[in-house]
Amino acid sequence: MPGEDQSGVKTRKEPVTGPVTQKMVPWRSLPLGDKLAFTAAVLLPPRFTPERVRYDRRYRTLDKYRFIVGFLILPLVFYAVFVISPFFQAIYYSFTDWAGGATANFVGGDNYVKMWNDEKFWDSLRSSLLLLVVVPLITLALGIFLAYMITAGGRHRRGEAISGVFGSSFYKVVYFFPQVLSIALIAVVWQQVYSSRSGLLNGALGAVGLDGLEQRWLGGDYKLALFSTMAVIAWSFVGFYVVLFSAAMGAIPKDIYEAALLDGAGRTTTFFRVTLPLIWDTVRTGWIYMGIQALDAFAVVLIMVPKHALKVTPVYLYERFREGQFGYATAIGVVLLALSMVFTLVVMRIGRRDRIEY
Amino acid sequence: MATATPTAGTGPVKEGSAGSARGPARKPGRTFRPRTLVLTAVAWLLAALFLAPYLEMIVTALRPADELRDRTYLPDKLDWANFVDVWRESSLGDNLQVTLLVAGGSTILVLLVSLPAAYYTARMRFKGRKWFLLLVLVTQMFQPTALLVGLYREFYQLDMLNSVWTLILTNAAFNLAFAVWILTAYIGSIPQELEEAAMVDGTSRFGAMIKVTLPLALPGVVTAVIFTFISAWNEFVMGLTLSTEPESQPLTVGINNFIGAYTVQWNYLFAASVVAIVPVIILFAFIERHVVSGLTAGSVK
Repeated sequence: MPGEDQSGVKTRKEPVTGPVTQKMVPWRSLPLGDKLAFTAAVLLPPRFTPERVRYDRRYRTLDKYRFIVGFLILPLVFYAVFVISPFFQAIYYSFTDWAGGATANFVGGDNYVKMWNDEKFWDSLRSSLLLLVVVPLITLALGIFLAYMITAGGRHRRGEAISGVFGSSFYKVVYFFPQVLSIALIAVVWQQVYSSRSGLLNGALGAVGLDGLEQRWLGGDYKLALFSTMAVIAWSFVGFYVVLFSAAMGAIPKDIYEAALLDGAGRTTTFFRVTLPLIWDTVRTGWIYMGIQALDAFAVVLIMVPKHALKVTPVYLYERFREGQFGYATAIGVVLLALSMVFTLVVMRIGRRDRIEY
Repeated sequence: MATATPTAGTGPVKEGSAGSARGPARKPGRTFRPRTLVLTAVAWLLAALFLAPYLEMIVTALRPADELRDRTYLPDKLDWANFVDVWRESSLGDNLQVTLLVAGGSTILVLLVSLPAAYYTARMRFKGRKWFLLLVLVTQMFQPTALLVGLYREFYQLDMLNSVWTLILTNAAFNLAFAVWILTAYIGSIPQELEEAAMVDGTSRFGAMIKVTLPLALPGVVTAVIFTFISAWNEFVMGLTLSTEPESQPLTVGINNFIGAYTVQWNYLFAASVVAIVPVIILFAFIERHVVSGLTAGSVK
């Protein structure tokens, strides 16, 4: 510390790398050359910095912060400009009547009042909430089942307590693949599959002789369109969870399974008593992620489902945006964000269990 | 399972004399039980269900225009001309160029920004480290749709709508979190002692990072790069809202322009889709093996 006599005391924190600085010269009385060297040291690699400066304690502090600034400032700026700032702008503009022009008048809670009285908004929200609740359940259940089949569904061979099915990596790739496709393309392809005239689904039903089951999958009934949409979202995300959960299941030590087998536990018991509790943390994370994805079923519904059959809140938001009702659209966006946060908190709360270490 | 015990028992004893005596039935567990059959059938059926849409896409892409309404599943003849026509008659070339620029540009940007940040976060215990990682996680949860108007407003003020840079920057920003998260986990798993050894030998910290840590973290870097590229390649919402002119839209948006109000040019639509998917398939083949480790590094921890 400035003013303190350090001649006798060796500082223990800093390893001695050169001649110990006898006394810190206060910044103001440093010669101009050193001041310049300090300033330059911010950008220069150490080998160009004079030793006199390098052995100064202030240089070490500078070195430390130089790393922080150089390494973290860019991502932070990125977040600030493209994620945090739009977020706060959205909140601000949801209280204005901005319609794309230069002016945005503050209108208080008008947009929210309008939303409260907007029948169509509530209709879209009902669909979105159904997606939010149902889709994660379907997708995760299917994902867990398939992952369990892949990691533990095989015959017991060579004395192993568990073993995967034959060709497990093939199944993983097949299930995972929709995950690397654009959701826009997925919607396009499924629109054709569901197509009532030339679609694959009706064609297949007709070919097996189940003509009676042929449907107008997307364009007709609301429930059917909702169900078809759920199926597509589940189809596109289930592979992600198969891979995720089978990785989590693979991390469970084999001896736990062996112990369960010795105790006479069958596959079902093993699953509910051993596997599921041990991967619960991963399941909960996946549940949150899937819920948010389902709430935001934007591209699938926008591209695939005809407008009259089904509308979800993000699509409703987008339509208001296209009409130039920017203030109203942001207000809907804020509600969506709030919903996903509430959902996250609820899942965190009801999904809480004692953490099991292994 | 009661039936499992005998088969598991025969396993270790096989080979040698016992094998010949028991003849062809010796392979453990090769007995076909009904349950196995049913499960195998279900597995195949599911796999077929998962694969069928791709087949549909390829078949339609090759279907001649006059057979589009037919109920027959396979077309009488394959029509490769769809690919040529779609190229000539639409803005697909421009869209492809935009997508290439956006995916490439944002991948480079993400790498340049996330690598130092991940290195620092993995190596240093600094104040606010937890907050930084939490911020990274939380921002990943924001739906782009909800931020859409805010982003539109930003780029509207900057007069950057319809610019390729807009899409590069937004894609980079939205993929940064995942890259930082994966790379932090990867770099954190490389022992710091290796770097320290190099530094004792006279390398600078920066040199140690470049020459020691980076080569070891290469699988993680490759995974992060390809994930970012694929996700920027596939991005739809930003492309739809931040660029309004057909020539400045990415492929995913351009493809949807084939869906008109009354008619859909299915054969063109799917020919274009095949063009959009092929690079993704190739890239995915490269990282398929790293997918698991990448995902677990990112989310299980």
